[in-house]
Amino acid sequence: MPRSLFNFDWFARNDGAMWTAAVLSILACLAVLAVIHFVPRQGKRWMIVALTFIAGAVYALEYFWPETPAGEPNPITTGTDIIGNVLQIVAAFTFLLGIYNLVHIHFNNIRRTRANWGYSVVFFAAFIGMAVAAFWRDWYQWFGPEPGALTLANLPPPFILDRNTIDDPSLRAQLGLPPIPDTFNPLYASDLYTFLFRGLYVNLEATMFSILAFYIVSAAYRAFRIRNAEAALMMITAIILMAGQVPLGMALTNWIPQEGVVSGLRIENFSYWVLNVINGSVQRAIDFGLGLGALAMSLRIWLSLERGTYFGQEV
Amino acid sequence: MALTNSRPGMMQNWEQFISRIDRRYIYLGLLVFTILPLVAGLGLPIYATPPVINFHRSIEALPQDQLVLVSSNWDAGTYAENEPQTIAIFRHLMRRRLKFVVMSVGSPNAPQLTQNALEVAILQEFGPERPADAYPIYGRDYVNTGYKVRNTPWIRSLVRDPIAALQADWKGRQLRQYPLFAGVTTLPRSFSMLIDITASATTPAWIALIGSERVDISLACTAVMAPEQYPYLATRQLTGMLTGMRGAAEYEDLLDFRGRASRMMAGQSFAHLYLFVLIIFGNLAIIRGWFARRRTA
Amino acid sequence: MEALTSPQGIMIWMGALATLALYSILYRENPIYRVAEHAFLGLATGYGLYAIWAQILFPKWYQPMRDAGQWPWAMALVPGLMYYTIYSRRLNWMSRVVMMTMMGFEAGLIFRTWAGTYMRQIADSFRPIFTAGFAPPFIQFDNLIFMVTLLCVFLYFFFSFEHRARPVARAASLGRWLMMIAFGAMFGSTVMARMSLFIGRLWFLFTDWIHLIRA
Repeated sequence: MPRSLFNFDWFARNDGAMWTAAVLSILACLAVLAVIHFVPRQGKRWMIVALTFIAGAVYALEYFWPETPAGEPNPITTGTDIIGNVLQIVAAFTFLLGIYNLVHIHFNNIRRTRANWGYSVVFFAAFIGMAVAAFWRDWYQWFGPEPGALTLANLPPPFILDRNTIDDPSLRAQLGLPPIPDTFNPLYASDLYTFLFRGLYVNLEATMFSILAFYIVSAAYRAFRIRNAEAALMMITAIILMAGQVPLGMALTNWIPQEGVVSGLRIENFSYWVLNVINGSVQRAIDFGLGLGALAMSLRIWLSLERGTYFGQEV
Repeated sequence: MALTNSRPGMMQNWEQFISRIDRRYIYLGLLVFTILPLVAGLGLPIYATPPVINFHRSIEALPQDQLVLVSSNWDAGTYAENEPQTIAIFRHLMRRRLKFVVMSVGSPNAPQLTQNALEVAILQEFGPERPADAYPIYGRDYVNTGYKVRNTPWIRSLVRDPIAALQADWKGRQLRQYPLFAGVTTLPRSFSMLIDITASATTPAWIALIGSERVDISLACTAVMAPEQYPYLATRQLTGMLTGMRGAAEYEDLLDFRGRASRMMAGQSFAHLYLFVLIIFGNLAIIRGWFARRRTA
Repeated sequence: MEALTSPQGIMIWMGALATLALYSILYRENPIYRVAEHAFLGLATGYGLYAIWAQILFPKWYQPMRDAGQWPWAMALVPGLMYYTIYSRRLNWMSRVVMMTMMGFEAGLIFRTWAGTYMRQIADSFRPIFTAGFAPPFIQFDNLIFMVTLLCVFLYFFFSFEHRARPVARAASLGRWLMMIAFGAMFGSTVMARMSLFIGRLWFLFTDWIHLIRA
């Protein structure tokens, strides 16, 4: 969209003008916000209601407006393409809000030397270590010259140059760089990154979630009680399904032929039948309920009828 | 209908006995039961179920050089389930000489994990001697487009114009420079299939916005998610499905290689058996109560 | 056991020690676990920061401005930052504006997503119980079970009237029983999922670290 409004080539060639325009546009937005800030509460509320409705109407209209007879998309469809990209950026900034919150909490722990503030130091060490390794590794790719434009003159200092920044062997030879070393060296950002990512992060995360296996085992004998017939039915199904999904269970019935009518008695086939027919229809019934709920909820949000946290409160 | 024991005294004694057992012994039991078959290298056959066979068939049916979108949305938390699935799926795609675009909307570290899995798959499929200019080449045969935040309007844009929506690969290089994207227009026109390898609820959006445009979707998900997907298998909104580690093992079997999932399944058998024994053990007083009541009746 | 001499070996040792540190919680609460837990949190946060910049903000926001001169993208910073006013009493109307607009977009898409998801589901729910001509008999049996289950579970969740009439109450109760079967199936699947994660860790410890399982 913006491409058709302006010709950006001139801005692309004139860095200074581009950044000036960017900063001015941000300032203009802030000025608009400042003006709105002094609008009375009721006015702001109506503005939010209107914006929510317009946002929803864009996609509702986009869906209900037919395509052209030639099968070309309607004008709203072409217009909405940019919304996805803008929302990516807005969502990315909000993701950073989560990071800010964590950092804020742990920073306060350390500053006020709260109980166990040492763990917050560990948090910061890991946070900074990972961020530095990752940013350092890719920095040159983002902000350095194009690989083809590299010369001895604009070659960065060695501490910025990662082992893989220039991976073309002939270019390395041309620039007088030694071949990429085989050995691991934590002074190279990508090695440090691999160290932290593969060595620590992946293993820590995988282990963190695997602890659940112990809890489910513990729960199985402490909490899974067949106090009534319904619980008994659930347990029997669970046991059949569990037998049907592991090789040992399958081995129990692998004397039954795989073809023919009796094959349905093989435990893996029977448990597939339970999953597909009974579980499948139960899930569908529940899913229809959820779907209708989501439809109703969306309509309430769109028309600003919803009440509760974030909805309909005084602003 | 109550099945509770008619003699509450015995029940309470048993409950007390159970609660007195140190949970650490139970944990140790799990460790021993799981590790022994793995060390012994116990191998039992595993049989492929229809969703896995259909998954396999849907890739087999694609002609060479077709473009497949792989949405890989798992992180290290479900490594043992999704990583073997990813390796097996990539090996199959490469065996069929298909082209593929990898993207992630589930987790920020998914692109790196998927890239690692892809490197393993290439090594397993073609061996260490593969010439640098042989299939698959980055940019010509596959591209990793990295992580994007999942939101429905963006997925709508992705359907309409994948290049503009994905924009750059995971290293920030613009997609238009790659030959792979040369003829790409809209997603339904350019991609023959979508494979979702996932540990989070990414599938509903694919079904709603991409499946409805007549793109086949196959799913490789964690076992926790699998039961909820059966309604969509029935309508062929999902053409196939791999259920966790077991699905990966079945797929490895269909592809004629014995990968990590097949070998890890040995541990599953005895871990399941252990859990089964524990459930019975926990309910022993109740089960005894049934029999006692039946005798008195 | 993996030697500590190679880079690969050091990495495996780090991973193994990290794994054991987290598993120490199974024995009892201890500082080693807490350290590993906070290291994990820190690494995840650091990685998140990098990923958001490298994969979204750099290619979609910064690069179009720098390389193509598309300065209007700069304005996307404003709604992004408006979220940050959420904790300010005076300014939090700004966060409300962004939040509700984004929800409005999502809400507007519900018509498309609903049709894309449920139209085929609804169509598929009308299955023939009796078919004329030749067909294997079990197909009708499956369809019958499917229809009964669907209707009974529906009825169970139908709160618009009281389930007083006996046939209704019976059907709703049957729906509840059938749901127990589905929940049993879900429990079985969950067991497999949890065990998989644990086996994955054992595989790492006993294959890569101490070579007890032959890879």
